[in-house]
This record gives sequence, C-alpha cells and structure tokens, in this order.
Amino acid sequence: MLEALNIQVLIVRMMNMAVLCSANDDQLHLSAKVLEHMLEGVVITDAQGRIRSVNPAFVRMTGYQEAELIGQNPRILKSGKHDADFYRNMWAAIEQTGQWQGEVRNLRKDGEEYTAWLTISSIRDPEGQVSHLLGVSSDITRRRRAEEALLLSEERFCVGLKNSPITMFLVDRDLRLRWAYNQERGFAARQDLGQRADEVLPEGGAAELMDLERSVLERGAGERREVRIPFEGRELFYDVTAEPFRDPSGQIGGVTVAAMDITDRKLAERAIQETEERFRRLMLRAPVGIFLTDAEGGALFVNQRWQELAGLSEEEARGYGWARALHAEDRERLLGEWSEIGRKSEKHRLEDFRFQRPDGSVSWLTTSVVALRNDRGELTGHLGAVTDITNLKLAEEEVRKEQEKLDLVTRNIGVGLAIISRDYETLWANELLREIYGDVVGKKCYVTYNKRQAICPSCGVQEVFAGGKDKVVHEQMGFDSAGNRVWAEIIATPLKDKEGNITSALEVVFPITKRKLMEEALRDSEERFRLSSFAAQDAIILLDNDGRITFWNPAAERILGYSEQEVLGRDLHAFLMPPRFREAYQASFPNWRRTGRGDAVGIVRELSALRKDGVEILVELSISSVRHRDKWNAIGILRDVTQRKVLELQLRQAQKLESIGQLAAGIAHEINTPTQYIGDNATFLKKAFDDLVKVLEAYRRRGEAVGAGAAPAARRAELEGPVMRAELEYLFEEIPRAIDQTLEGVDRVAGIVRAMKDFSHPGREEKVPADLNRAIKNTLAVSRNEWKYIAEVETDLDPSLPEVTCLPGEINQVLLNLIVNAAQAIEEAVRGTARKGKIRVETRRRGDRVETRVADDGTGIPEAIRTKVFDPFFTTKPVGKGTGQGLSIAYNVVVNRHGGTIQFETEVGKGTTFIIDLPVDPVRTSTSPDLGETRETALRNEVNA
Amino acid sequence: LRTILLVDDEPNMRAALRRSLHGEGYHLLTAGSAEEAARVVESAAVDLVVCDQMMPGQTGTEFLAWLAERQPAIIRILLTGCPTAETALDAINQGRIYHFFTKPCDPLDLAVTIRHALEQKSMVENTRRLLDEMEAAFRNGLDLLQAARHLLAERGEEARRPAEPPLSPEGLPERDREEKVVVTGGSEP
Repeated sequence: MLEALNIQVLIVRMMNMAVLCSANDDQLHLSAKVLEHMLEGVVITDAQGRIRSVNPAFVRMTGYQEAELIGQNPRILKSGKHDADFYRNMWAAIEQTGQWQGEVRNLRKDGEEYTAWLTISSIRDPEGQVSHLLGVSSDITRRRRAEEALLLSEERFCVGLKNSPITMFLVDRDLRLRWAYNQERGFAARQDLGQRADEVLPEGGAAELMDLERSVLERGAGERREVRIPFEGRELFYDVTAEPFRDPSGQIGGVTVAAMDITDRKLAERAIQETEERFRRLMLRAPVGIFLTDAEGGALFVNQRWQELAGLSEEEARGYGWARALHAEDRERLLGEWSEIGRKSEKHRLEDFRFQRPDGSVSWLTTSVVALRNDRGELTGHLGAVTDITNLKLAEEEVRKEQEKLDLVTRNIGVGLAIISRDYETLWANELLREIYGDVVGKKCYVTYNKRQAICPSCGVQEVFAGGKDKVVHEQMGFDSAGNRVWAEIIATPLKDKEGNITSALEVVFPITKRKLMEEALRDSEERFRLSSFAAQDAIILLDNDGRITFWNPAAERILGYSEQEVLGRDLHAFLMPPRFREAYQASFPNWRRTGRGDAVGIVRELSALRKDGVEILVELSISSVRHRDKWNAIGILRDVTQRKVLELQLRQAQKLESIGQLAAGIAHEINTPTQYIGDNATFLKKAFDDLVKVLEAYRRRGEAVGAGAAPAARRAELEGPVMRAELEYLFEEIPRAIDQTLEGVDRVAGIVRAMKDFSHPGREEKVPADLNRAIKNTLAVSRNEWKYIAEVETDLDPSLPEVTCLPGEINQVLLNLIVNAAQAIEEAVRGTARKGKIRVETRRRGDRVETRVADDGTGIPEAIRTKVFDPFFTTKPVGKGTGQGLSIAYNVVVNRHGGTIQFETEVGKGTTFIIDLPVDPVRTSTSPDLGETRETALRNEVNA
Repeated sequence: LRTILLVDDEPNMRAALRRSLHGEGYHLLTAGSAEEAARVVESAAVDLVVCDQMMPGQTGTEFLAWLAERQPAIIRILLTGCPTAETALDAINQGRIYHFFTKPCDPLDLAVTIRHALEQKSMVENTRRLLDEMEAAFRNGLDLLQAARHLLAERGEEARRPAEPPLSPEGLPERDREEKVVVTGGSEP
C-alpha cells in the first residue's frame, strides 16, 4: 500500500508538471502516452468539475465508456456510502493543501461497488487559479478485502491471545523488541518497543529468555524451552517457542517468540513433587509396612518397614515376589484371599497372617488394603498397610493360655463360669459355657445369653452390683449358640477389689436344660395322662408295690362308688374284692410284688367286684405291671360289664330256647307216637282182659255146674260163646306182643325225656367232666325227628374216650347244631327222591385231646361261602329254617370257651365233615373257678326269674 | 266187608292200630310208607285210609292229597304226632280229609269215627243205588209214556189234545256227584 501511495504521488507530480508545461507538446504527448498505459485510473476535470479526460484504466475501473464520462461530473460514481462530512473534509483539504488522499467507495456502471485509493490534486494555472482537478485512483477492492480479511483474522488472533496465557512478540537481530502483542500480564508490552529484554526486566530476569533468542539467531532454527523469569520478587515460568524470522531475501531478521505462562502449573507441579517427596519419605520411613500393587496384585512398591517385616528387598518383593515372605502355613490361604482381592470392597482387611523372614523369625501381621482407582473408576491397584501384631498375638496367646489354664481347671466341674463386668460384658467364660453359648467373651451378656437388647428383667448380676448381697440365685431361660432354648440355674456373686468395690460378678451357671425339658415333657405327659384318664369311660386304677391305690380316675369313682379321697392309699383288694377270693389273691400277691407276674397280669379277665353299696358287679379287668422306682406297680383298667353279661346270658338263654323250640315239635312227635300205641295197646289189653275174664267166668260157672250135675251140651254152649267171641288164639298171640310193644313205647318215651334232660343240662354253668359219647347219643336222640326221615345215623364212638371237662349244655348245643346242619344238607340233596342220606358221628381220643367228627353226604359247602360259615348271621337257609347263628355259636363255644378248634372238610355234592377238637382238660383261662362264675349263675337265675 | 288201610312208618303203631280195630269186622291192610300205601290202593279196593303224617319220603298230607285226586271215594283220616296248624290246613285243603286226629288219641274215638265214616259211606252208596234204580225206573216209565203217546196218535186222538213238550232225560234235575256227597259228609263229622 505504501508503494501504491508513493506511485500515485509520483504520478500526480508528473501530471502536474505536464499540465503545467502543456506548452511543451512533446512533454504532453509523452504524458498522454504515459496515461494511456498507466494501471491507475486517471481522470481530469475542469474547475467546474466536468470530466475532461479519462485514461483507459479509469474506463476499465468504472465500466463506463470514455464518451459517457466526458463532460460528466465524477459524482455519477457515488455509492452513497460516504456522508456529507466526508466530502466537506475532502474539499477543504484540496482547498487548503491542493491535495486529498483517501479511500472511496464508488459504484461501477453495472452497480457493483468498488473501493479505490484516490488522490485528488488541484492544478493551478500560472495565475494561481485552479484550472483543473486531477484524480488518480487505484482499484484496491481486492486488496481492501484481503486487508479486511487479515484484519478480521488478526482481531480474531488477538482475541484468541487475549484469552490465552500466550504472549507473542518479535525481536530484531539486536534482540530489540519490534512488535508485541499487548498482553496485560506479561513482560512484553508496546511501551517496551525498541528495548531489549534485559533493559526491561531487571536483575538478570531476562537471561534465560535472551539466551534462547540468541540461540535461535545463531542456529537459525526454532527452539522450545521452559524459561524462568524472576519478576517483582517472584518467579514466572513460561513455555517459550522461538522461531527465526526471515525477511523476503531469506535473511534472518529477528526472532518471533511465543511464550505461554505456565507459572501456576509449574508451582502446582512443584508442590506435588514436594508432597510426593514428603509422602515418599513418609512411606519409606513409616513404622507400618506399606505396599502398592498394580491392578493384578503385583507389588510396585514396598516401603522400608515392609521390607524389614518381610525380610525381602523392594526388588525381591516386586511382582509376586512378596509371596515368598509368607509363612508356609499361611501362604495358600493368603494367596487365595489375595486372588480375590479385586472383588473385595474398597477397604478390606485381610485375615491375620505371618511373614517368615529368611532368618527364620516370624511376625504376625494384620493388613488393610485400599483399592486405587483412576478418574474413570477403573481399578489401578491396591495400597496396603501391614502392621506387626506379633506382640498382640503373643499377648492373645498368653491370654488364651491363661484361659486354657482356667478352662482346664474349670472344665470338669460341670458348671459354667463367667465373669461379667459392670457393663454387663462377659470378661471371661469357661469352656463349658462357651460350648453352650458360643463366643460370648467381650460381648454383652444379655445379648449373647438371652438375645435381648437390654438387661434382663430379673438379672442376678444386676442385683449383685446393686450391693448388699453375696449370692443371688435365679433360674433363667436363654439361647444357645444354635438358637435353641436352654435353661440355667445361675448363682451370681460379687468380685471385689482390695478396697472392697464390686468390680465384676462371677456367675456360676448350672445347665438344667435337660431337667427342664424332662420336667416339661413330664408335665405334658402327666397332663395327657390326666386328661385321657379323666375322659376315659373305664376305671383306671394305679396300685403301688404294696397294693395300695395311688391313682383313681373319675370313671373308677362312677363305677365303684368310692371317691378318690376315700380310696387313695388304701389296699385295693381289702375293699374291692369279694371276700371269697381274697385268700387266692393273698397267696399270689408276694410273687407279683417280686416279679410283676401273675395269673391276672397281661390278660383281660372277668371278675366280680364289690361296689361301695355292697352290690357285687361283674367287671372286665386288665392288669399291667410296670416297673417304677425299682418296684412293680400295677395299672388296672376296669370296665363294668354287668349289663353286657346280663345281655350275654339273655342271649345264650334265648339261643337255647330257640334250639329247644326247634326240637319241640320233633320231640313231641317222638313222644306222641309211642304214647299213641301205648294207649292203643292198653285199651286192647283192657278189652282182652275183659274177654278173658268172661271166659274164665264161664269156665268157673261150668265147673260149678259140673259139680251140680248140669247137662254137658248146655255147658259147652255156655262155654263156647265167650271163647268164640274172644278168639282166644288171637288173644294169646297178641297180648304178649301188645305188652312188649307197650313197654318198648314206655322205654322210648322215657329215653327221650331223659335225653332231653341230659341235653339241656338245667342249672349247670360250670365246666364239669362229661362223657362226650353220651352227649352225642343224647343229642341224636333229641334230634331224631330232624334226621330220621332223611338219613341213617351211624355212630363210631371210641369206648376209651376220657371224660372231657366242658360246659356240657354248650357242647350239646354244638353237636345239635352240627347234626341238624348235616340233616338239612342231606335233605337238600335227597329231596324228591326215596334215597336216604347218612350221618356219621365219630369220636376219637388223640392224646390229651378228643376229636369229634360229624360227617354228612349232603350237598357240601360251595367254595364261595366257605370263609363265611362261622360268621354270625350268615345263613343259606330259607327264612324260618335257622337264624344263621348255629355255626357261629359252635365256633364261639369250641374256640373261645373251651380252647378247642373247629374245622371242616367239604366237597360240593359229596358232603361235609365238621371236626371238633377239644382239650380233655382245657386251659384254665376264663374257666378257672374265677370270680365271675358264681355271680354269673346268680345272674342267670335272675334272668330266668 | 269194609277194607281199611293203616299207614304208619312205625311198626308198633301199625300193630297197635290193628289191635284197636280188631273185632270191628273190617278187612285191615297196612303200609309202612306213603309209597307202599299208594301201591295198596291201586291193587285193592280200599274204603278208608288212616295215615300218619311224618314218614320217610312222602308225608301223610302229600299222600292223602294225591289220593283225593286219584280215588276220591276212599275216606281219608290223618293221624299225626306233630299237630301243627300248617299240617292241619294242608290236610283239610289238599287232602280233603274226613277227620284230623292227633297222637295220642283215644282208640275208641278212632274206632267210632271210622265206623261213622263207613256208615256214612254206606248211606251215600245206598242212596246212589236207589237213585240209580229210580232213574232207571223213571226212564222206563218215560219210555212207556212215549210209546203210549205214539200209540194214541196213531189212533187219531192226536188233534184234540194240546201239544206237550217232549220229555227227555236232560229235563231231569242233575244228581249230585260222589265228591259232593263226600264233602258234605266231611263237613258234618
């Protein structure tokens, strides 16, 4: 731009000259030539402002043709971007100085704005009058735009600089400041232009900077250094970049310097360094072992103390080298724990472990570890502190030994011991106590023993601390280490110091859990027993070893009439047993006292018992012996069966009546038939006797007549009448027969009557030896009418049969039932035929047993009902033919009442054989001359009545 | 001579009955069972049966019921040692018996009953015979009357007399059958 200005001025001067010397044509011509080729636009106006002349450059610049311009005022180019003052100043300058220079913004013909650097000169004529105005203009539109862009960029740069800690300046070869960006806080300022740095900055503050500048100048190459500048009592630090500045010829004209203030950072760094150093020193000399690891757990650093503890140098400890220091016994455990460390919480405490140094010495260590993380929260490593707790461990060991000693002393005393502090913490507890309650030492007693949050309401220790008592005994429920309820009886006593102050309390703890549980169980059991025995309908009576009553339930009172108060402690048999049985009881009692065994023990039997009102009742009694406190006691369960017995008797009676009723018709027939012919014969004999009397009379009269001398013929006629009528021959023949048959009939009737009597056995309810053969004959006799029309009876009775001790009435009933069944089976088989069946009755002795067989050749028992034949009320007979009780009764009599067996063999279509097997002398179970028999007889009589 | 059959499975009983009826002027037959008795009544003319109830095989009632169907003219008496209502009902309804005796019974009673029964039987038989004779006579009379009427007609008397219905045996009242006589007799012992 400077050049342009200079050129314009030059041109103006030339033009002035040319115009002035217009007389000189050559010169003018020359001027015209020059104008024509000039790059600057030239316009010449007259004094009135009318354009007189333009050169081609001006034409190009404005876009107007020369012809269009000539005669016009240059005002046509006005853009309107300049105000009136602008032109006034312009004209004023021309008036006063003859010249004006400046930038103008005009419009081309096509309306486009352009910027021109314009120099206006007034040309005066020799008279000094302004004759022409000369305007030379250069189109600086592009340059201006470039400049504007540059300016903009410089502004931006400066703005950028302003906000950054960078100072920029330029020094020449003499290191004098040539250009600087004004920076509020810095060493290079505009006012320092032309000065050297050491002239601005006192006390050698510029030394390093100038050193750098020189270096760049000498080497001709850029350099970057950190520069320290002491300034006004403090140090400033700069990060300085210096570059050689070359002029267009390539000569180094100076140095450009960009300096960034890094004082703050530098100071911070230094502070950090100092801190780090201090920390490092601290770590190195710390009385705790310190180690730093990477994220993988490898050691990066270990301090002095750590090295001492481990007996390893830092080098040796690097990576996983530290593991060598671990005691062999702890190594595996600790490495295991360490491998998990990354997953642990930020702060973690390792289990205590040991280092064993190369010299063999061992230290116990406790270690806390902190996780280190970077800004992103990633794990970068761990920092750990290791403390030597060997002494502590030793102390613990001491304590443990002490405790063991105490434990040893207190182990076998069988009681728990604990010392409780005034804060209710367990200071010490013996092994037994710890076994029960777990780790209680150092913890609040009410928490560990009682699972409470505060002191127990009835705390013996509290009472001890309250003073005045040397011993407090109380029972307490607590919880063992597993959470189960435990009971203890606790004696608390105060422990005092020399001055007699209570410092703590000693608890002596007797574990009584078992006893408590047993007590509870016992209470439960007692309660259950009490409830069940109270609810029982049967009398429950307990006797001690002396036969005295120790328990008497309400049912016993109800059944026997005595209240509990009346009987407790009394000898049961003295008042409950009818006197006639007492002797037998007293004989067997001593044996029971000793052995718990006896005839009545372990079975159910029927007995008579005396009620309070003196009435004998029938009871069913079961006695069990129980060993209690080394002695035999008895539990008797007794049921009043009087009513049942009455019913049983009634039933048996009814059954007997039923069978007799069944037989009655048959027996009547059996008796009526002989009676008939006895009567007939008697009538015949009477008539025969009458006839014979008449004959005898006739003979007597004849004898008299002969004596008197009557006529013989008349006598014969007299004689023959009665004889003819009586048919003497017939009479002689029939009378003996009639008598015989009559006697036979009488025997028959007598036999049946006797059999009936034998059969029904009135008044015999006890077991007596009986002839079974005779019983069979009787039964066949009374049942004759049942079978005689359909079957022959064959008997094969063993003459050597011993008498069988039995209830004959009941055995007869059994035989009758079997015979009637046999007859009925045969009847079914022979019905509608003239065939008769056969019933065979056999007896045989088999050792001490007697076998009776009743066989028929009837229908047999179908397979399907064989299992039911002994069931009560099971019957195949039509209604009216039987109740279905026959075989059931037979079974009951043979098996239950005689201890025998009853079985059958059967084949459908071939017949059935029932086999009864009876012991000759049955086991004395319910059959011994027991208490029931007499009573039963009495009852039966009542029933009969 | 009247024939009486005594049926009882008990020989002493049969002998005793024989003795009871001895001298009454009967022809006495005996049988030990219903089956035997059936054979006897088929082969011999029996006027009256005295039968026991309880016997092997058929009972008395069963036999008498059979007999009532077979030969209703034979008078039936039951003698039983087992006098149940059932037996009595069966004997009356099925056996249509003349008399029901229970053992023991008075032998004279039995004899008298038998005599009465036979007398009644004789009366019935006599009555029937008389009726038969009367009927025969009446028929003869009728025949004669008819012949006489024909004769008169032939003689021209026919036109002056009113027409009379023809007489025939069907016009006579029906006579009672034997059974009815027996039943009537049975109901009046």
